[in-house]
Amino acid sequence: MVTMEKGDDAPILRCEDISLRFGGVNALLDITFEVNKGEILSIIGPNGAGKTCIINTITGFYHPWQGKIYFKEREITGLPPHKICKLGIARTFQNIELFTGLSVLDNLLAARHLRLKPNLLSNAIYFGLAQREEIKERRIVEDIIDFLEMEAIRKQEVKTLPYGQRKRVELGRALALEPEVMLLDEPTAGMNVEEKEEMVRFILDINEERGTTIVLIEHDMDIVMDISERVIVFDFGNKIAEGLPKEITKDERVIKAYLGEK
Amino acid sequence: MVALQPSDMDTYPKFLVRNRQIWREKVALRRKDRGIWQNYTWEDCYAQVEQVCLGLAQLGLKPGDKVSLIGDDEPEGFWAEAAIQSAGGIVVAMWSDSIASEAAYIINHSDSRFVIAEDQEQVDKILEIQRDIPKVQKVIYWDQKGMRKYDDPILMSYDELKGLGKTYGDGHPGIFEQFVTGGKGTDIAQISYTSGTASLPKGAVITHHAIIASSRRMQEFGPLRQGEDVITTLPSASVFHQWFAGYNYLCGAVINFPEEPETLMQDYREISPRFILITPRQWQSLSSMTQIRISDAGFLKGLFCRLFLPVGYKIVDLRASGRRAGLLWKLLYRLGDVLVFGPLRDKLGLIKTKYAATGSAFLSPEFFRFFHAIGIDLIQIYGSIEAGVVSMHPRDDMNIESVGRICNGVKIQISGEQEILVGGETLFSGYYKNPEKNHQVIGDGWFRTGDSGYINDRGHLFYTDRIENLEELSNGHRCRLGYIEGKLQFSRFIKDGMVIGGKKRDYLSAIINIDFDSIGKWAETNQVPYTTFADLSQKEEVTELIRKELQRVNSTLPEGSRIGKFVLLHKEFDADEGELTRTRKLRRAFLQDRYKDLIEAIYGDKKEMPVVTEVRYRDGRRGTIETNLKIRSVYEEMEGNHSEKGKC
Repeated sequence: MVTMEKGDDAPILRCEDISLRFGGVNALLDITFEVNKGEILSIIGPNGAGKTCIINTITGFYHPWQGKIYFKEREITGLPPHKICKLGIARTFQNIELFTGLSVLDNLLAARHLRLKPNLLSNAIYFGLAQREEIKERRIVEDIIDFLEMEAIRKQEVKTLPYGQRKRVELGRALALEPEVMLLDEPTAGMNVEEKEEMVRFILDINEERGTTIVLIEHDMDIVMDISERVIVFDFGNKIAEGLPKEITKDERVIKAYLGEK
Repeated sequence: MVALQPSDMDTYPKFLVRNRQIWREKVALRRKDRGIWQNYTWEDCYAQVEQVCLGLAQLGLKPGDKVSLIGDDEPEGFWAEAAIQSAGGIVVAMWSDSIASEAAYIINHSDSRFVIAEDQEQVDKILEIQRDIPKVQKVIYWDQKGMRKYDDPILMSYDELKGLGKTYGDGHPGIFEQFVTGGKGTDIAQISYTSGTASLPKGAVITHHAIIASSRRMQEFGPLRQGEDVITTLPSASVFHQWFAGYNYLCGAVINFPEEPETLMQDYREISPRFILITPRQWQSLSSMTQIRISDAGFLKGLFCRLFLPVGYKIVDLRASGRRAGLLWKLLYRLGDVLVFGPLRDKLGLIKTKYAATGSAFLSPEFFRFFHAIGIDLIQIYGSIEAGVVSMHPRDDMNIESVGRICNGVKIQISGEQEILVGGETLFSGYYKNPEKNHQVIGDGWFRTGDSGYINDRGHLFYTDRIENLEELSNGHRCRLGYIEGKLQFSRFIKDGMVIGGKKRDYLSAIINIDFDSIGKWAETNQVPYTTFADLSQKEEVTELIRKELQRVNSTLPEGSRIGKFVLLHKEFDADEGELTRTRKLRRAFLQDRYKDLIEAIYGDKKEMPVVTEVRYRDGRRGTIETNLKIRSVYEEMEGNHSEKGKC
């Protein structure tokens, strides 16, 4: 487990002048922001503001038309998703993207694949090296199952699970990558109050106990104001505000973007 | 090392010391963790208990001090119990789902100096009431998860406590066993708070001697050998948990702790325990789960079930009447066992089970018939916190109508009012700080159980009902309300029911909680659309379904004491609202007061009753639910026909 102290000087993730276009549509315009090590940063904004776009751009699913992205001061712009993932940036999806035909356990183990050191010979023999490696991976995955309280569904196929639990599995899969930064795209969407509380507790625990930096896209303002250290507000592909939660709630532009003109 | 003589073996900690000497590296208990069953030997358990005990002593625990314990049933809690008792302390176990105010009451009333809690959830509960429990000096928790940011000086982790104990033990070799041998059987081992169906919980004081005597009674009728598996699902707040622990300490049976309450079914299957003791509630849900599965089964499986279940029932009934089954029936049953019952028992994780027991509350004979029919020889253990183990079914002397044969050494008599009175060594020593009540229930050395019953010539005890549940109707019929409620619960569509009678009324009525899972599933397959629990409960189709169930139950009841009208309640009875006890028994007096208007409406021949109920959530928020409850008759011809009512 990687534990980091909060407040290291250099930002762990930095976006510089990111612009993203689809045809003539500007999805993102000159977006610049930094994510500090160990913080919980929320990105909020109305639908279509470009929140998911920025996550897709950071994780390499979209390539920005202009601008640069740095992870731990290393440029990662244009790298393919799997490489970015390997560097230590994991994400969850707004519309759950799991292997529905696999069990919860296998979904998490699949994520561990990235950290495996395959060797044709030892894998063919299995006993010895490969077996030890498998036990090690299983232990890590079982820790996550314990952490997210998924013991009872460990062997169930994902397609048989209700929505709230799938969200949890997806969080687990992201966690299995042992990332330094986790980008969570609306982790509590469509959940009831109790499920939301549980999810928030998990996010806080991940942040506190594992020291993972969290970037959170979220619509529930109570959650955002409650757990984030800083908030960034998007509107029509622009970053219109950035600051502490209590500053954001008073910001004129934010109120306008959310509630319209007076 | 202090040598213990067999005659000195009067506390569980003494047995622990003995077991470590004779069984050392043999497995004592097992827990499922990270998906794997992890073994703990007697050496391991000894070390755990020693460290916790000495840690507590270091914190200042003196003989006679009370320690409250709150959490799910896990090895840490189990060791903590032995550790507290080793140090001469008294265990006060609480239900893990107790709300904060209940916990505060028990901690205060018992004068607890320490609290041992499972995890963040329980710690939060204790911290919330910290100001109300000034006598508590330390709160110790064993699950670290989520506890990183807690810095309240009252908190201490289990590992810290063990570290403290280890250092102390290293400096004082042999001190732990000195503590243990200093304990006596007549010392108080535990204060068990009763679920209090009528009032605030009362703390029953129990000595080591009483616990061990009860445990020996269980072992006499259901003996186990060293190394045989048992599984624990009873929270430490249940007194059955204490008696059950005797299998571990006295016989060396391996106690298995399931991974989580939710994984219970899988864990049963993996262990398939020799002895399983679960509550009537749990047997009820096993039964309804099985019935749902049978109704969901494919054509062939369903056919086999429909074919062979009656065979099972036939065999049970033959056995009950003392007749021998003919060769044909025996052959058919064998076939049924291979095709249906065996696989069913395997699914339930009971394939190796020798003793399947229920205790702590009444379970209707219907359930016994059902489980016996599928080859699970369910037995009843009758006992209570106050009385200890009183009777139990030996495997070779089964009678599903009785609550077992009276155990050896039990002093028992039936009073003039048919009340069961119990005496003997398993009796408790009185309620803590409650002399008035003590005088009332145990004044003359006989404990008044409050249960009505009788004994037959073969030494079997029969339980009629709680005395308070015996009511006479205006037509002169005496009704056993609790007994009828038990019958209702056998329907997989009914989760709970309260039957109402009374001297001024000429028929019974029932307020029913539908079984949401079961009826929800039924509604899906029968294309009955619904939104919430309240909505589903008032559906015409559901009313019809329950009406049929009630007619079936009525057919087994004597005429004159049958259910005439019923209401399907818009919500479930809830322990958090005080409607049920923590052991999920009805708090009848409270319920009758709470649903006073509804009951009046039923007997006032109203058709509907608007209700607004206040709901209290766990976090303290309050809300209201408004519903129009329909009042129905069990027999449709009765609808609107007042004069017919008495004939039901």
